Amino acid sequence: MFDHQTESLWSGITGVCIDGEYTGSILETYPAVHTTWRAWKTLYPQTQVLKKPAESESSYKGYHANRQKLGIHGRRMIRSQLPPKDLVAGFQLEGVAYAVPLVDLAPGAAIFVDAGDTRVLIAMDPEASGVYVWQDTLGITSLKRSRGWPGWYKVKTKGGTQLNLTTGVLGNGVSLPRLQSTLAYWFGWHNFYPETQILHPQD
Amino acid sequence: MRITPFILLSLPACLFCQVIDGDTIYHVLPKDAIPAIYDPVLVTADEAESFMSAQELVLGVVGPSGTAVAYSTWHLDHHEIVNDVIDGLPIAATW
Repeated sequence: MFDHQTESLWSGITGVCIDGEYTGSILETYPAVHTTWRAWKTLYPQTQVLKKPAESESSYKGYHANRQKLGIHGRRMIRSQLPPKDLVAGFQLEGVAYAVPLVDLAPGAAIFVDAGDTRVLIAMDPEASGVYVWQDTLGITSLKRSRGWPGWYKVKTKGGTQLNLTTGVLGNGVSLPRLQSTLAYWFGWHNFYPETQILHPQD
Repeated sequence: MRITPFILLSLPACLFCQVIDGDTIYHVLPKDAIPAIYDPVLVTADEAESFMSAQELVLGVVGPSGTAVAYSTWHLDHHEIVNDVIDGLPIAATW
């Protein structure tokens, strides 16, 4: 990314300024959700929307369907821990990078993973590749899919209530902290975070 | 007269690239070849029905005061960055 005012160059993935007067500065991340228009509109009927021409599909549909092509120049990945074009939910906690393979996430199901001392709750939008990553600050003991869509679950904690895994809001109004996550191909995430740990669901 | 070696030595270490901290950055496209959006126009969900598809993937953002905004990723395929302000917070939505 290039800033015209300061003539500085920034990494779009890490948010670090690599050239120009702000070299070394880091942009603060702000969480965004990746989901379908139908799901987002249901969750946030008052949403504003970026005006644009009507389109029928993504320009990158062919690239996403191609399991061999890595990047626009067609790179190769040697000795990869995961298939390079597998999608992962990448996030960071206390300076450590983690990746959860999306193949471990059944659409509409939720899993727990341990990232260091933190219990993390991850769910995948049943409609799209949207992934929601939350910090489990409540000590949730069980999750059971409940009524409604998108994303209502029955949660067992000390209080016991309903949790919407798409918004992170519980029935009593409390919210789980959302962890900013990046949906990425494994080869791309690993390129930026070579030391990333791969997390699998708890049994 | 041997001219060729002198010409080779005069060429930059790489064409269409720059080296920063020992890493090479390749300039695949000129600046602004993929134009960022600087003045996004936002409309209501009802108005958006005329140009959004149900399965169209969006980047959904909820601002600090609860304002929700959706940016179509099909549209961001062509722009890759939207410069916007949500609830007073300046953001760059990138894709």
